[in-house]
Amino acid sequence: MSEETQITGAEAATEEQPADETPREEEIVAAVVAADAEKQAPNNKEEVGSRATMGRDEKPTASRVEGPANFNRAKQGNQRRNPRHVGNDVRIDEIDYKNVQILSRFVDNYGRIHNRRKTRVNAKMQRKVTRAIKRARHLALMPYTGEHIRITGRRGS
Amino acid sequence: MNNYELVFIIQPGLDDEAVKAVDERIGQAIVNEDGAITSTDYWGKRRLAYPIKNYFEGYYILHYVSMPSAAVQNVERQLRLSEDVLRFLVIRV
Repeated sequence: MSEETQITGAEAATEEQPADETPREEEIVAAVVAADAEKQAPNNKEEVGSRATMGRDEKPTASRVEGPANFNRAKQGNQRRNPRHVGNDVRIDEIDYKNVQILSRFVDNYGRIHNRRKTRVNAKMQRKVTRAIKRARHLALMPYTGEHIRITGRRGS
Repeated sequence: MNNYELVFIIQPGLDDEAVKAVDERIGQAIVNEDGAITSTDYWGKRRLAYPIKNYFEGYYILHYVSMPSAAVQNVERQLRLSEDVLRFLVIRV
């Protein structure tokens, strides 16, 4: 545990040379920690150097720590959403009358098109979906009614 | 000249030769109107989601077509005249 923190400290110190914007307080603390790390484990220096080159293109250390944490929280929130809201992960260019597999997610067991409250997509997307489903119905790729499903004995394709 | 997607369903009773003949006739109609088929997708025999004219299956053919807008009407007329074509859809892309 303690070894890990020392390495990150040393990393920050070595990064200061390319990026000058790092705040001053951090500079001092990092320098002290880096010095300690070098005393205790001088053979780690090579590894530290390689890490620093990896992170050179990225922003200063403080923002790099905060960024991913926020991103993860957002992702978790997305996953917790109600599974009935099917439209979350659909891209707009995927919506096409030929793509029955995706369109069938916007339809209930009787072949009726879900409303926006259920699909949870924006208005633009909903218009595209509706239009695509109606085209697919015309070409008998999708059923118009529950009766059609009963007759053919299978949904969609 | 505009780009169109043209899909039509041919009745399943025909053999491959006859299907090809119907397809050719449609292609000829497009060429006659100064259009050209850029690419084609044969979906093959597919189950219909509901019966059309008591058929439960059909051959699906998708053409990507480039033709002037005035040609659409005549191509659609040709598709309507052909009794082997169960359904068709022409959309501009």
